[in-house]
Amino acid sequence: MKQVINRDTVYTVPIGPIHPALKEPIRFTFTIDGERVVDVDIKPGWNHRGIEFLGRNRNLLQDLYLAERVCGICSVSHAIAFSLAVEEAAGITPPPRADYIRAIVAELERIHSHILWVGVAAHELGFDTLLHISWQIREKVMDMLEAITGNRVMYAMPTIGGVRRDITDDLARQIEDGLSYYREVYEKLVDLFLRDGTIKMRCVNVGLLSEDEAEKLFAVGPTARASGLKKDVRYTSPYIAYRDIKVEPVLPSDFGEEIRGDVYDRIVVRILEVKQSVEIIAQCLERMPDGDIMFEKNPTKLLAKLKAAEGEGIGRVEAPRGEVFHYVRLVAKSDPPVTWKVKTPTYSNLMSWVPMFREAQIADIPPIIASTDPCIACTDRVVILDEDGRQIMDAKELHRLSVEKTRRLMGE
Amino acid sequence: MSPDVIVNAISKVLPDVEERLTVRESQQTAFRLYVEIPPERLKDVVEAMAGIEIPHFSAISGDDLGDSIELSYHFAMGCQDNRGEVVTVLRMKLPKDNLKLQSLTDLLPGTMTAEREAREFWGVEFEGLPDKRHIFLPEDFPEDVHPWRKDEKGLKGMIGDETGDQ
Repeated sequence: MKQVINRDTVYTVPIGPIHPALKEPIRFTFTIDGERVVDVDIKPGWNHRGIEFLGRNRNLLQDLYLAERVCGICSVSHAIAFSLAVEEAAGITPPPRADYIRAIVAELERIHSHILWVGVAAHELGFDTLLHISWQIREKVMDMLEAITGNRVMYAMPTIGGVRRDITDDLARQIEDGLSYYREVYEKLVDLFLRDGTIKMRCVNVGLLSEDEAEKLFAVGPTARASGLKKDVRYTSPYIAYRDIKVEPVLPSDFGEEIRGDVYDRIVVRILEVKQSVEIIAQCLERMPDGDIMFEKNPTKLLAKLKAAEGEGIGRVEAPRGEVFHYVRLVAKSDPPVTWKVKTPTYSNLMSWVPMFREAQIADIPPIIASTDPCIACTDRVVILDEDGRQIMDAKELHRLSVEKTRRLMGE
Repeated sequence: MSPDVIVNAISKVLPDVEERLTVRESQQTAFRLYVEIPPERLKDVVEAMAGIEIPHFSAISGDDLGDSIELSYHFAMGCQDNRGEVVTVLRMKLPKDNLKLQSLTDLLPGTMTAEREAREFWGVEFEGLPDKRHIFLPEDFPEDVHPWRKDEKGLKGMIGDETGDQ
């Protein structure tokens, strides 16, 4: 994005480290010429918790809880990926029923995450009614998760070698009811988001990421798929129940759209994936075998086995935002892993933001930031400074600009 | 993608690749291909892999082995093939008196985040890395402290401090 910059007309605009559209702190420093973004510098790390470092001092079951807390929304994805890595290192095979329960919870998490996200996207564009409608629709899946796991977030379902709670017949019926609800409201979601003229005006050809850029910058998840890449861990190296259930990566072309790789395409992919997840859960319920749900019920025995284990393992999971990667190395006679590396989806998508901001307008910054569904915290503190460091714009102002642009395009 | 295709490509730059690799099957329907490579050949090997197709890159993991740092680059070849992925791990040992690697950013710009992270957390220098600022650590973090190291350059006075200097 190096361009000739006229120093007289150029502003530096820091957004973050704390920004209302983000779930974790990150700082974007935009170089702005008039309304045009000419460059961006991205600095994450404001909340680096040293989880991998902590993990080197705890046993593997304690680390499982740390892993789940890497992310508040992809929590079950991290717990599954960590379990898969440890299972691969220690040579543990979880019982088949556990694989299905893991997949059901993972897909429910995807529905909740995607609908949460479309709400945030609507808010960024200035449609707060749509935000409330989406989050009302999302409540059903939160109820389902609470019924199954006892919690709305942080489910503590997966454990090393299986899952901690079973899905009883009664719970299965509740899940089926929930799925019928989502089949009913799906068309409404499509209508509200994908056939809406105003959303198209704000999102089509905004925040473009070409297929070639997405590939070389290692974009993952809906961000990669919206640019036309068939990257989906459930499709390329199926794990847990996805080995039995066919998962095709969702591309914007599935909605009859040409693939542009813009913000609109990222909405298309996420909305279509809600439907896909509903069908995956239905198949899981139908094909779920009976049997045990844990490789070893006694945690002391499990820890003893893990302590004796020696080896290394990789766990890769398709979280709602993309590939979650865990690498674990175990040596005998040591409770903690000697190495633990976690890679989150936003880590992979960081670099992809740079081309997306190319030639964008200031009012398009919030939807573009939101469009990769960054998993980074949220408080209200955005400032735009002029060259002398005086505050000229705050979060409300930035949000107002975005709302105004929507109204302007609607011709109000 | 078959692991043989990748091994073949790598053998053109590393003729003794057969002695350096371990292939394992995984319950996650993908082969695990671990290749031990000399650090100075990293870029050649990645170039050979990228000659087949642009790989997916996940992360760099590492371990402090005492007198050397072991870094593992986790790639996935066949990253758009149905049930065809091969997780390819390039592993190298860097002696602590020569912690240097070639940057891959000109070939695969997406590796920048991981290289900046490895630089600050392990203290490995990347030749050709265009941006050498801290990324996940604070901007004013001391340049000679590397939190994942288990020697005198690691964190001091933290829980589980492995230097014993609390």
